[in-house]
Amino acid sequence: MRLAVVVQRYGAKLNGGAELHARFASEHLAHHADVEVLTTCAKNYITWRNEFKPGLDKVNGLSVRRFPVSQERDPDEFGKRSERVFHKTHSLADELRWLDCEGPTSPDLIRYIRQHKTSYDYFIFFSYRYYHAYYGIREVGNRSVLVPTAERDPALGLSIFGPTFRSVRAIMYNSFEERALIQRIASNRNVPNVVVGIGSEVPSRVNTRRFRQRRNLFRRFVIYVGRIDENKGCTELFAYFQRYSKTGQLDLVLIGNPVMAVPSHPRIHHLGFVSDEEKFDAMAAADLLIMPSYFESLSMVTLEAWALGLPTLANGHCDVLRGQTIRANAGLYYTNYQEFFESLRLLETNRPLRQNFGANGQSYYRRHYTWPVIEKKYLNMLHQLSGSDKQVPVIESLPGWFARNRRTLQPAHHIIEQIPKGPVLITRKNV
Amino acid sequence: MSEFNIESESIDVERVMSQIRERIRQKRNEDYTEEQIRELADVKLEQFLDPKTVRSGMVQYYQKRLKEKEAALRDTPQAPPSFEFDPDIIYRSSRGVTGKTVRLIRRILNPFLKLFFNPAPIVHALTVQQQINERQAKVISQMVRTQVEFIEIAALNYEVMNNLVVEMTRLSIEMKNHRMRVESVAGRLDFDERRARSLEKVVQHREATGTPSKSNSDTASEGRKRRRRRPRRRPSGSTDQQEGSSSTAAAQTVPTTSNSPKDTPPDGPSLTTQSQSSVSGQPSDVVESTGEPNRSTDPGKSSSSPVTSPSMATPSTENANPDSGSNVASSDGVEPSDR
Repeated sequence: MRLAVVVQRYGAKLNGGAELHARFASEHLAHHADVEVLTTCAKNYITWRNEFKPGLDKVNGLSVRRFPVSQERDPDEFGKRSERVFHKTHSLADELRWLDCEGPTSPDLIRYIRQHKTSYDYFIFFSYRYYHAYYGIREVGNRSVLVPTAERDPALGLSIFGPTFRSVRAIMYNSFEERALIQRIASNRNVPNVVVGIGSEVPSRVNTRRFRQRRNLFRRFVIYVGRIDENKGCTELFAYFQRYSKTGQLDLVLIGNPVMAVPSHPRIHHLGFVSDEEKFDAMAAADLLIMPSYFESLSMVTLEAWALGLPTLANGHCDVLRGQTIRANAGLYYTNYQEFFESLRLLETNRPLRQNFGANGQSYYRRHYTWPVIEKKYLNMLHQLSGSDKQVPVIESLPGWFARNRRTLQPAHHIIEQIPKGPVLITRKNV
Repeated sequence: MSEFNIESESIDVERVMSQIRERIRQKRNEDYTEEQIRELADVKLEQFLDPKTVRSGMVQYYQKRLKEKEAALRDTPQAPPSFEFDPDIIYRSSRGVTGKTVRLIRRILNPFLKLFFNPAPIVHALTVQQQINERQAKVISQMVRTQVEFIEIAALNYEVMNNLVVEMTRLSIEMKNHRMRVESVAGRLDFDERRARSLEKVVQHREATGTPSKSNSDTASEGRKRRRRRPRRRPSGSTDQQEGSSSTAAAQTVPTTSNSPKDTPPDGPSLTTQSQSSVSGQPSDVVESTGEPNRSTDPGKSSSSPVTSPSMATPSTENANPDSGSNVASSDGVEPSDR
């Protein structure tokens, strides 16, 4: 079986969620199939500047074919177009202009897909919201498999993506919440799908003492791993933790690159970007992991914490985190400061509870997120598609010029607001 | 307040969360949350502050004014570019070579033009007007700059004001709580003073009669009491006589006391009402409320007239310990600020 993984950026040192997801999936699928990665020359997801050389490349032994981006993103222009399509009544043409503006626009990549679509059995597209997925899926039709990596953000409410979700051959969801959200928006229940998620490379041995001695941290602490960004809920986390620290005994350790200022506080320790080894040592030394993000499609770091037997405290406003926490039975969540305080205090003071949550998380991870399980889900789906002669409907073509430019579409933000919130609660035996 | 009761083998996140929420709900009943304080500060200042001196909706007023000013500044139309005017401009033409010819013809015909009217004052007036316009443009741009600075200061003022209002609300709530505490403490103090006076009267009364009291019905504790009172070494009368006369005296001096266990209320307030009645000037009642209930003898009589002194109403609601008078004096009042 020959597979093409199509993703907006690709590289051994790129740590974006969808990009890492694509790399892990490609490398593991390569054990079972002939995999080639089709991507752009961009390294930076804000500018999409061409930084890699176009052409064939090798990353961790995998063939990577890179195509140049024709135009960098203009942040001001993108901001204006986002404002129009997200918050104002707009037209289909506005949405298409927004997509071009978002990038990474690479007509060469789309041309290659068009010309070589018969050379691959399936094209696995990552991230529904970018140029490569929208136009690529239109080119390959029933050979396309989509890994949407969708969050509850306004882009999902744009009408251009409905046909994409309805016309792919199969969808590999990251979570039950993501599936519910997309099915609600696109009415695509008949499209074959499976909730897969992603595994992680968790070391079998960790050394907490090594971490504590290296960093001179001998107090009990909670840990946050990820980009330190307002969009990740860090502002709220800092405010809550500073209030909590007046009575609680735990410190807060932060791992990740800062995009915002980290408050100067004797109980908050920012370690910056660290190696994977140190990251896992730190996680193992922590009492629990805090995940304050409002928007997550999966949260790999939460899965890693569970893999290490660490309980989690998640932001309950994020449906995915809340749903995962409930299904795994491996932590608590909060929706305001009072809940944050009580949950953290409970986890801080109740060791048996922490241990039980940790054990539950570890068991949940082993059942659903180890690589053999993930690989099996992908391969089962691909074999199922190969064995089925069911033809997916041809993708809906774009309307004419006048219809495209008629401003009748609702603001995407309103559409997303109308979708019911909350975790998908299913019986635990089905999880 | 309910504690978390989690069995290790049957942990359920939702159950733990519901316990946490229940705990939060209980806490909320006791104290104001930050959000509630903010809500109070935003909406109903008159409830806490003097309505004559503080205007309600101050925060909203500032916010609205600030937005109006910003909108007005945004809506100010841009001034057109200044027109460069000089005496020669009325003869010029912008048509290239033809324009130069036209200009030359106008120059030649200028004397004839002056036969009809004099363009010089018009040119002069327009030049002056241009200078005035430039000056006005400068003044306006300065005013706009000042206005922008003012808006920035107003934004800071708004923030300060907002914080002040929040703090003021918080302080007024605290003050209210403190006032309640002071009243409670004052009541307790009053109670203690009365109790002390009553105890003094008891001592005086005993010294005057010279007969320590004893309950007839309490034969079991007789020996103990005798032993305890032996060191007093009263000068006259045998022990038995003392006890007998004491019991008679107690029966005479305690007409309104309730001593039976069934009359003892299980909880604070009603018991303290009973204690109040006993403290309201009856010495033997005070003895009962100070932890020696076995001294009074006649339960049937005692519950007949529950007298409550109005002056003791305040301590009765604050001191809620049902056990004894001595505990009443040291019990914690049930006040929101105590928690």
